[in-house]
Amino acid sequence: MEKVLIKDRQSFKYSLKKKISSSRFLIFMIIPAIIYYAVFCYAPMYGVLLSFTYYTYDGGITGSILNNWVGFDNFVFIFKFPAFKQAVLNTLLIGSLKIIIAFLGAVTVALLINELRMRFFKKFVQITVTFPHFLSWVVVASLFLLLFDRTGVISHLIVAMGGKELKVFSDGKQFIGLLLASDVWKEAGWGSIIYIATMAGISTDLYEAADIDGASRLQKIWHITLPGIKSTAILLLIMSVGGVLSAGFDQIYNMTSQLNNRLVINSVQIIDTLIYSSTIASESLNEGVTTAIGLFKSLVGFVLVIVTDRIAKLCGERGII
Amino acid sequence: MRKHILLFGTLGLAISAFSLTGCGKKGKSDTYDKDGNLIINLRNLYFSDYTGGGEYLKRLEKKFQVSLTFENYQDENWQAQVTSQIKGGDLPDVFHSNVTNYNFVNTYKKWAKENVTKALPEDLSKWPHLKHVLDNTTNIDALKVNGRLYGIPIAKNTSDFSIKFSQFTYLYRRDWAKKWGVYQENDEYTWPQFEALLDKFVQNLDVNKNQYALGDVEWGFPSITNFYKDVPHCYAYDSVQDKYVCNYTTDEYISGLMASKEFSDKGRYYPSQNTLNTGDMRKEFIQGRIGVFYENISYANYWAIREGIKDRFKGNITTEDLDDCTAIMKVRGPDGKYAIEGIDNWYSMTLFDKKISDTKLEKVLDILDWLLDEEGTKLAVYGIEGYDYLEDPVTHEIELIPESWYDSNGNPIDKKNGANYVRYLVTLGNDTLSINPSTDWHISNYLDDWEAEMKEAYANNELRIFKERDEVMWLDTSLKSLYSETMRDGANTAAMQYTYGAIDLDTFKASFGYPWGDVLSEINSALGK
Amino acid sequence: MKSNKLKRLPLLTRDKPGPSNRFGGFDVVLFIILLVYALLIIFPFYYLFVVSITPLDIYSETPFLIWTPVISFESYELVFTNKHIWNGLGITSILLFGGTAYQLFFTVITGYALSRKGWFGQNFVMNMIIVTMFFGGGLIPYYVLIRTLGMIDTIWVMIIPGAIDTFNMLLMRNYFASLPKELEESARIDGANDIQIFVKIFLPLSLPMLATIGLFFAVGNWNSWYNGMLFNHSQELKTLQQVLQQITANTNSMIPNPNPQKINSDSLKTAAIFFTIIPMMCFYPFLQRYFVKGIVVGAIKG
Repeated sequence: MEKVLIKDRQSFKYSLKKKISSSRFLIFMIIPAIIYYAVFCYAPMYGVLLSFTYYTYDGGITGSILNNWVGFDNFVFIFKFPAFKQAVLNTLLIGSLKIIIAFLGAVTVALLINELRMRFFKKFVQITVTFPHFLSWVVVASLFLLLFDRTGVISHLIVAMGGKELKVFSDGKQFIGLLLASDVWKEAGWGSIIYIATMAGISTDLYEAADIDGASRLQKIWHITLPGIKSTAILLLIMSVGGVLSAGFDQIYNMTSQLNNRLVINSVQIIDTLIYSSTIASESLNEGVTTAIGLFKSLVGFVLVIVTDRIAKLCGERGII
Repeated sequence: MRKHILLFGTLGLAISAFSLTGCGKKGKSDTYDKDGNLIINLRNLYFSDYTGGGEYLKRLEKKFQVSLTFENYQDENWQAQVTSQIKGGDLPDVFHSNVTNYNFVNTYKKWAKENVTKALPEDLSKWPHLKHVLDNTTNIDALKVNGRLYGIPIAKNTSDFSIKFSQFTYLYRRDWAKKWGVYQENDEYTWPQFEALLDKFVQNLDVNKNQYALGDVEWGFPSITNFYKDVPHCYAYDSVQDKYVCNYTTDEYISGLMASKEFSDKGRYYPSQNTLNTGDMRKEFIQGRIGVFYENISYANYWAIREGIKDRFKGNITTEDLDDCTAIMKVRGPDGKYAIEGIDNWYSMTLFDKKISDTKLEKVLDILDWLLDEEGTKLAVYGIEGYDYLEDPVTHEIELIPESWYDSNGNPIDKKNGANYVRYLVTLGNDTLSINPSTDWHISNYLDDWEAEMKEAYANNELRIFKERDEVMWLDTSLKSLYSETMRDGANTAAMQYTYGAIDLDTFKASFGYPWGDVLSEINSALGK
Repeated sequence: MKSNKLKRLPLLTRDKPGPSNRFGGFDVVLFIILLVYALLIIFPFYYLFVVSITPLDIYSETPFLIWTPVISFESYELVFTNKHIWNGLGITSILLFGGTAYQLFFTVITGYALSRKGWFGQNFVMNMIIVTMFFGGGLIPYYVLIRTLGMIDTIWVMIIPGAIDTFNMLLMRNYFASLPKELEESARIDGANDIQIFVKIFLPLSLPMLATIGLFFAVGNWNSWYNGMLFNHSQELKTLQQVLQQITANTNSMIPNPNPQKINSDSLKTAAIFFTIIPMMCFYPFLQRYFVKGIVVGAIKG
């Protein structure tokens, strides 16, 4: 046993040398990546230890770890902290609504475009509806704020059509509606592309057979197209579940930072904006506490990914890991 | 795993390098420009229209052999900018931070204790003028950490410290009141008269043109509660139980809130107060869409409002008409008294980066002290002798040289006087109003008259100043510092929601559960109640 | 975060599934629905444009603004002569050209290295990289890291941390891996070394994919504001998007308006928004197919 191991080791050494020399160029190429991931992705994981400390400026990371170790106090604190609980609830609400609506929006748009038979118009629609994806939230947020402003055109339109005046900026629920609407406006077109590609991959034999049976177009959509994209849809939907705790910092930051919007801010305060606003932009929470919040978010996100992956595999779909 | 030594090595190196450099940085050494002047960088909210340079600043720089660089904070997220600079560790030498009782403990005090900001020297007698200003600042002891002052509170006024109330009050359209027959002599309104005036405005104003009777400055909503409450924000004192209670659920506040709701229901209030950006309501007033406007009418603000209106009429408005558009309204509450929020004579501080050398700090103090003395004040206010003004050697009377103050059309020349901007690090310039040739005396006197009248009313027990008690305002306990700001914001949110009918009174009251109870009991036990 | 991390899709085989019915009522309904949808996308831009050319007096008197009888380009004049905006454009241009090249370089070489089979430690590196897609240290440790690296208030903070985009890197890797092995073998027989194989054979073959990824990076850099917002404080380092943020928050202090009687802050805002999206609007129709191709190919090969 022992001998075999030593022998193995020698041959391993030999093959290692050979392997390294034969792939020198590739190893040389990967070194920047190793440094990059070590510094920007793994080094911050050391900083996660901050969540067990009370961070002080003069201590820095190491000093705080050595001198201000508080154990699980920060975690005990955040689970009693109402703003954190509220932020988690808001994040789950906004995040899951966004997933559902983005999914429905993308599939609907894909179905509509797929059924369209005017080639030129189809091209026009596709170019138009995918465009907003490439705008930053800075632009889209100011655009929506302008449109839905009290003096904005949408409010006037709704009142003119006999509707009730919108209270987008005073009613949290309506503001979440605005978040969802702007999300769909920006992303539905782009999200549809992958479904359109999937639909294009459905065998035409199926449609021809259905034609012979005299199926209507709606029947064909229901019985052929939708089942054809089912596995893609499930896969995409399951994958987005992992991101449910990132309910869109970019969007919410830009939508709320331009307003003196205390009324609404409570209902759209998500985990990421809580971390930013209470530790980077103010001193209201210690770094230790917000690192704990960030760690909570990372861990839950990670668990969600694993769980959804298992579910996907149980459902007979391909997993993502 | 043995074969991954390289990878683990790199990881380990990165992590250890990261952890080692994580230690606090040592002091930064003084830097000098090529002429040997000490470089000092300043960042302040009030530098927004000044970036440095100019003859006046050069004088100052030459006198003290320094080179000053300016940067300004944007108004909108000033405190966020300051905090993130501190988080990033790249502070300017001298910077400007908001210090209120809400962030006193967790911000100002934390920075002082954790060596972010530098304390002023214990003995300030080397800088007599500065010492004078600091000694006369209200509530200065509250700002001391371990007996040391970690910055200079920026005084609103250095000449008269007896003013303990703010200038937050109502401006109104006297011309409208006159036109619609609800004007009262001397702008004095009792509560019913005030309500009658608003209702008259509501009748005559056109909602379709976005015209409304009453609007509050963004941070002042709902101003109607002012006439009911004893404390502006969280902690009211209950004399019966001899302890501190939640201000927002006291009977006084609730009746004020119900009055606000009534005002809103009757269409008197601007309907979407909550969608406003900073400065929006002022614009609405300037554009003539608001009849009564609650605002901080400091000299600078009042001047800006009047200039805005002048602009709107392209200058074709007489002073009388302008006065009629921007009259101060003296409203007596239901109890027959005026009500004004009490305030200290400062609300923000000039702080110093801990990393700067003692020499640099002393240099800055030298400059500030000199700017507060007569010679420096002259440079800051008048400019350069022989160019901007002449001084009579015997009587010391100042005579302006017109060419440097007015252009050929007789319009005042906009001078960017750097010395004046540096002076803003200590006072907001109200102390020089009385000698400043560009002071608009018409405005200044009007505001002074109002203040004198309010003081008299105070003497006659006709003015109610509402302010938190100092002992609780500057109290330093952990829960209070953690929650006060969120508690206040939450309360304001709830008040706004109730006023606009989004929630009912029970929901409003219910929103003062956790953490209010814990914070209040902490406060009460800390104060021995 | 792009949520389009799809691993496998059925291959694109045919051009279209051609339903053979003739043009009927169903198509008309479709046409109308999609037309409305497209108009919903276009209308905000149109409205922005109208606001940006409307003088103040008309703007404040017209509640439902559809077109303005008086056209004024003064807000554009102010925006096009504003020093903050040009400064922002300068910074954004540095990111757009320098940053994109930098990101493309590191992403491509990493993708290539990971696509070649059989070098020492490959699986381990791959797994370590995949893990970072699902788990991270969070904002605060990252912030402290950037501070420790001394990158606060420098332009580097907006470039260096973006060196490798894991998702795009994996796209690139999969693309390289999909190219036939025979190419490499025959090149080796002809005596080409590793560098030559990479530069002369693989890079030219993957130009479409490079273009796609490069375009994604370029768009990202054009839209960059997050790192600048977090880490940079001085006005000189603000990107175009950050300047736009400042303008929408406080128009008057960013764009001093000498003529407040004629120009409203909304039209200054909208003119500034237009300034930032015009390049995109001009190029997008021609580049759209590259973007689409990228995501579709990535999804299929993934």
